[in-house]
Amino acid sequence: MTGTWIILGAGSALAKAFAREAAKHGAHLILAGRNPQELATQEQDLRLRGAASVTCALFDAMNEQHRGALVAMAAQAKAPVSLYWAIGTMPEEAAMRADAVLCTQMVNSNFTSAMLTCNALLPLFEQQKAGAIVLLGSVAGDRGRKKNYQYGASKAGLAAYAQGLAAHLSAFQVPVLLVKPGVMDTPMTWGKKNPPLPLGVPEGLAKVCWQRAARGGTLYYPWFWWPIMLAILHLPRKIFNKLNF
Amino acid sequence: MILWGQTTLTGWGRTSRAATSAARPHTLSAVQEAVQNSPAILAHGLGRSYGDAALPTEAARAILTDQLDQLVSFDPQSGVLVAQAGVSFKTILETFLPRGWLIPVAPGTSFVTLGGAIANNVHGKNHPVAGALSRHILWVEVLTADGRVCRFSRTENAPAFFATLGGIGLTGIIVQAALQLTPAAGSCVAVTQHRCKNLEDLLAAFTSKPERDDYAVAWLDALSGGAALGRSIFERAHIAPGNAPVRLDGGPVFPLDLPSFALNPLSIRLFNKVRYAWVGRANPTLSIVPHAQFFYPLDRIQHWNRMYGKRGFHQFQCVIPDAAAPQALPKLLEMISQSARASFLAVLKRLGQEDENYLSYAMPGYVLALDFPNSPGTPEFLSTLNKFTRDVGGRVYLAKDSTLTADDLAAMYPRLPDFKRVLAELDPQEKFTSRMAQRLGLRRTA
Ligand SMILES: Cc1cc2nc3c(=O)[nH]c(=O)nc-3n(C[C@H](O)[C@H](O)[C@H](O)COP(=O)(O)OP(=O)(O)OC[C@H]3O[C@@H](n4cnc5c(N)ncnc54)[C@H](O)[C@@H]3O)c2cc1C
Ligand SMILES: NC(=O)c1ccc[n+]([C@@H]2O[C@H](COP(=O)([O-])OP(=O)(O)OC[C@H]3O[C@@H](n4cnc5c(N)ncnc54)[C@H](OP(=O)(O)O)[C@@H]3O)[C@@H](O)[C@H]2O)c1
Repeated sequence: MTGTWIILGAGSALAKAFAREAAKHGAHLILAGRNPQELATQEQDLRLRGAASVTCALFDAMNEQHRGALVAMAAQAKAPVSLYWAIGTMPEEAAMRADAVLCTQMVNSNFTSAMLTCNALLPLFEQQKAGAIVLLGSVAGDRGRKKNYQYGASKAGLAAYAQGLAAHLSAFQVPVLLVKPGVMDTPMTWGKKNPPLPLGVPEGLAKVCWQRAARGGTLYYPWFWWPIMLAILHLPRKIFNKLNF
Repeated sequence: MILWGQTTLTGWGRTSRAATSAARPHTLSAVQEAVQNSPAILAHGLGRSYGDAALPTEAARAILTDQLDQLVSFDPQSGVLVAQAGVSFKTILETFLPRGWLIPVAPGTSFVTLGGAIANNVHGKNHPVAGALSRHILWVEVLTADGRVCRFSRTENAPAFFATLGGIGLTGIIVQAALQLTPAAGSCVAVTQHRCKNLEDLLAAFTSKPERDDYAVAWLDALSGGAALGRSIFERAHIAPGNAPVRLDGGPVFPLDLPSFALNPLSIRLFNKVRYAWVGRANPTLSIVPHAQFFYPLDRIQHWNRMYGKRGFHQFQCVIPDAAAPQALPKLLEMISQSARASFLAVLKRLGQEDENYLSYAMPGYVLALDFPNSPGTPEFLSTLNKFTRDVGGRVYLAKDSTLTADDLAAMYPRLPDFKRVLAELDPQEKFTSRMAQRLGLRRTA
């Protein structure tokens, strides 16, 4: 699915890998993020890897003007336009409980902004009847766990939105893929105490996203997180509540 | 702010491990911050050196360079590629081979970083014609101990340039480099294979002069001795037209550590027999294969080093100078075959003229490389092989080594004093240090 890919949160490690995969297939790219200077350093790299064109755009999750500008840019871009959403933050849970601003920011960047951005681009997708939407959720959204239920709640919201959006856009031949990464090998997890499981590799996820985007649906990555989450989902509440994870 | 994570690094042979604190920076400024805040530090690429070249000392930290992986520029007229040091050969090949450009020097795996390949000044199966990687590096930018990023080339601080090439990471952190790519006829390789009954046969094959002989290598059954000593499969190759897809994705992952008894002399003997019988032809046969099949057969199984179990393995790789080879090679092979220390992969290839860098491994002669499962007595046996190599005027390759001594190094590498002098100027406080550097007396041990 070439044409233009808008990468939101282009500074993220997962987004970077996906942008490279899209570049390899000759896509046009719009890199949107908070720090366009830093994104500009990716520009030449992506061109050399095969991108047809690369444009950087300033995008802060809750800034309405940025959103408006992005929609205008999308209307001008080489069709069909597709969207890859990687914006997210994962602050300490305790810190968020104590700090309403921090908690709101987290919900806004993980969930609200994704919803508002897709809503704003909806007419374009309805009209072009092509392209795809990829949203990065998380396994944390499957069941709220003691360790990260606020973050998990934002991702669960995103998941519900993605389901409805997919249903809405199915009449317009625009697939929506909700990705649920397990623990990935990225700066978000580097040096942290991670579960004793192989970390997912961003390049691997990027490849799968590229192949799966046209089909939509839900994707667990690495695959073994699907049975793990299935088991966690079905743990009896009494046991689940006692677990410290 | 830089994140330091606790991690355990090992060489590819997994015989020694280093629990260390490591940073994994994305940007040059983060690399600078990490170096500035650490009294002792070492760059670690993809960890494909077998021994302790890429392992920090107890007191040192590590910079994992794999995220410094941007392509910076490419000039389609001249073929000069500028890339950050963490870019892998895999990326370079996947990106540029389909466009008709090749890395002129390729080690046996594509999972190496540009920085790591420079720091070991790697060579390929075409050393006599292409030299080592250094010949194709136009300049390097190195973050040195004083915190500055300096450009070194043949005209800009040449001593520092030749110390950085093959300098096992001790001159500083290479942040980017300019590499001259070479035009490629296509992404296929024309390989001619035939069997050699013994060493005499094999050396004759190496010295015969066909029309094109860019790449040459022999796979040797290191267990057979006596009349079958040197029994091998000889391959000669050149780049051929054709558009095979350039796919270097690691294939399946070797899933677990095999128990240490899995690779025993019997199973390896069997493997070698089968492999030899497979190429059932005494007469040369030509085949056209995709690029990776000839250059990176081992990359098809990721983490194949787990096959040797938890105790790991050593690789011994030496070069035996031409003058000594006729007597020394059979002796060396006989020692190895008699030791029955079971070596899977024995490779023989040729090197040409010495390269420009101070710690150049090359000299006109034969390279022998083989794996030894790490069992009791293996390090001692390797020391015997080191001594033998030293006595016949050869050299042991640092990218594979874990047993050389400071004396061995001085005897094998005649320009070592020059290297030490430049190091003392660039890094008097010994900020950049490794286990290998300590073992070889290049760094103090405290
Ligand atoms: C299967 C296999 C086949 C091989 N075949 C060959 C072969 O045919 N020919 C050959 O020459 N070699 C061969 N090698 C060895 C390999 O090419 C070298 O060890 C190479 O240096 C590994 O690169 P790396 O990125 O993994 O570096 P590492 O092993 O991580 O590091 C190697 C050295 O480079 C230094 N270093 C790494 N990055 C930087 C940086 N940015 N700045 C400064 N110093 C740095 C490290 O400190 C260390 O001293 C082979 C290895 C394997 C596993
Ligand atoms: N890594 C994992 O293991 C993992 C697992 C499950 C799900 N995920 C999800 O995958 C996505 C990407 O993760 P990652 O690991 O690549 O994380 P990351 O590197 O931290 O990337 C997150 C990105 O979001 C951007 N961002 C945050 N707040 C923003 C805001 N208000 N406005 C604009 N941009 C904002 C950041 O921008 P800056 O670059 O400007 O900071 C950054 O580029 C996230 O949604 C994450 O929740 C990750």
